[in-house]
Amino acid sequence: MLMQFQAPSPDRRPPLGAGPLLALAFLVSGCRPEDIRVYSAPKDKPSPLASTAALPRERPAPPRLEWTLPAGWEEQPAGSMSVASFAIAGAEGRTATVSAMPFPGLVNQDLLVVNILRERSGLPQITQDELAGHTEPVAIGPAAGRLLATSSESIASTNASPLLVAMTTHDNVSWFFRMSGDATLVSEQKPAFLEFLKSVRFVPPAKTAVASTAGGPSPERPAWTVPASWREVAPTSMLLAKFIATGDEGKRIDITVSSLPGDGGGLLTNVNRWRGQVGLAAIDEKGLRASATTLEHPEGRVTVVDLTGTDVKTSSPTRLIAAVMPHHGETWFYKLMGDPQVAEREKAAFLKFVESVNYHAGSPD
Amino acid sequence: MLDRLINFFTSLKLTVVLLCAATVLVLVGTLAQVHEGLYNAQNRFFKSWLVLWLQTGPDRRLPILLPGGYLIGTLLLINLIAAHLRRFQLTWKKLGIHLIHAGLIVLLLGQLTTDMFSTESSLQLFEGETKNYSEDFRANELALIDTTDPAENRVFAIPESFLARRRDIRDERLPVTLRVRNYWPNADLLRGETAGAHRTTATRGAYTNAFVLPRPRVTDSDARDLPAAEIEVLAGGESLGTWLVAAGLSGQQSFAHDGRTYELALRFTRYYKPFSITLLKATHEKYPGTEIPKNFASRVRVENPATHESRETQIYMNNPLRHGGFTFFQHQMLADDAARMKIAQQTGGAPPPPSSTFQVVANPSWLAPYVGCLIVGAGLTLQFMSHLVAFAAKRRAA
Repeated sequence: MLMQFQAPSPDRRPPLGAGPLLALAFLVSGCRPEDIRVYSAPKDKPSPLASTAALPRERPAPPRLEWTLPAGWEEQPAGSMSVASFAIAGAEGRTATVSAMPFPGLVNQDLLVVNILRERSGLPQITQDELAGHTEPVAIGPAAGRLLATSSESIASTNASPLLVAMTTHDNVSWFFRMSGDATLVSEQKPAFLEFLKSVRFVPPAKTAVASTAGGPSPERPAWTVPASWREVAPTSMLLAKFIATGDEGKRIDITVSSLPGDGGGLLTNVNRWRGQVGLAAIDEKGLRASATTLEHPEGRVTVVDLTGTDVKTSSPTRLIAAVMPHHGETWFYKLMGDPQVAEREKAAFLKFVESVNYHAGSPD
Repeated sequence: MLDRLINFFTSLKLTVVLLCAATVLVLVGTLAQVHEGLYNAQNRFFKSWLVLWLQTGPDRRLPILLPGGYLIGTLLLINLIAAHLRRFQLTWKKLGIHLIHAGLIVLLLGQLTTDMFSTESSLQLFEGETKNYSEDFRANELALIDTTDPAENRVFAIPESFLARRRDIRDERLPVTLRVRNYWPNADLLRGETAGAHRTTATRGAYTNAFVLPRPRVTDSDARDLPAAEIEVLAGGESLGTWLVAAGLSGQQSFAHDGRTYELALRFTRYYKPFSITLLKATHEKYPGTEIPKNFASRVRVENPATHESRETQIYMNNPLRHGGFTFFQHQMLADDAARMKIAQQTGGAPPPPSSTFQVVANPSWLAPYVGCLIVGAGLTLQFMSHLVAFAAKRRAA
């Protein structure tokens, strides 16, 4: 069906060969105001995506999980699709990883997810019958689940990583737990993996989250002990809390608290972003390991970076101290930035503040 | 007076000044992209007559006065043509010079016409979907669509700039008056209340309980603003209700008036084509065991009822489809299972079908740079050869 335009369309092509006149047209059309277009158009063909009155820029809050951490496991920042991630270090440098991935509202898609996980481990895809035939029952918290283990034959034939996938559905959320890594270590840690699955507790989402440029939901503030020398001020939209501490001659530092889902973009990416803010060159993973320190916290290990440089916005000397703490599928960022003298004075108080954070005691307000 | 004007426009000094101004403009315009982004900086510095301010921070502007790209280009063109006409001598000896100037004029005109008449838009298709329109990368329109006729729609497409004026939109072509009660250049629509969000005053439609959270305008060239507006429809002085519309919403909102049915939507500006394209298969190949892309390819069917053409073809990197004066480049793809699962996880539902997005380009003066360069090349060759021959003859004579 041909279109019948009654007003010019912006992408209609002028005739070729009208070159000399186009310069004049350019002068005229450059100043031409936009106008209402009226035209006949064919009906839209049906789209594979159903028309919906849902708000597309709103997304459900990620489901949460609680667990008992097996001995030898270390919590890591969650990945882009997981709400919990763990690293296991074995003898002779052997390593394995465990992660938990929720898919709210996704039902009867176990095969698709399993095959994605198998593809990432270098394993061939399987059929629905093979999935049904090779799984064994397993307890995942209060729910009954299925466990799919990779056969040693397929690992030997494909030179792939071994893979354990446990899956269940709880409160309309499909959950997948994956363990992969060194074959010997995965075999050794399988009992711990099964115990971990038993210990899992499904926690309802905190509240409806909003997809935004900030990247996710605004979790509730944990409890903490604020040093006496700090004063709390209103946070901007991306922050959960903001404090200031002042020194002589109007010198000050800002202390901010923020949280992002998953790994918040990654530790190295964030550290390099902060390094850029104080005029330092980016570093690699090796440089990060060499320069970062750690702080012990009941929630796990906290990574601390301490940077001194020049604020690229104000060109004044500045110091930036940041503590990064993964906690149940989110990454919390505690950041101090400002005058180096005030920062030096407040560093101990800042680290004590981070140590005082308690995610289970509710808001301090 | 006329002589002075002619002297001014034919002056070589003007050429030098304009070239210097162009250098400064390119430098400042490039630096401005730090705070304004590529798209805004291009529009303000290179697709304008005058530049009046420079963004030096998120909320800081420095007043400046620079000639814009249009002004410099137009003056250069006038200067070149005027100087050429004034000094024109129809001799074989000057033919090379004439050709070089003619080539430069073609290049300048070609750039201007490309700027004014070329279009770039986007065509996103899910597997199995057919469309006969592409959508603007940035511009949006308020579409009032008369859907009464079962065969075709009558569309009244109102540019977003009309909404920004926040005034009544009256036009003799429109069946109703549209009153812009609220307009947000970029916003999120939420189901629940949150700090800074506006509870909609919409009384009709699918979004009467929504909240609008204003967002800063995007400067990233890969992102786009998603505007929202509250539109009251008035007919014969009576209000038919207020609707909340926003770019990116798929829910249909309709109303009846004078025995006809209308839909109201704020959508990406559409450019209809006299042919349709169906995405048959989107292929995203990766190197085995890695996430490294190996190949993106789209199998499409092109159908043109006017020419009874119906053919299948493959679009992939460096192999665009050229049809009806448009070029369709493979632009984006969402066919990877893992990426679709990630979207399913974030949106809480089934993964979206595989999809492919094409960049649709129409440039009526795409030949101009080639022709201009050929003419300039011929002129330079002729000029150089004539000097060489003269020099060789003189040397032989000596």
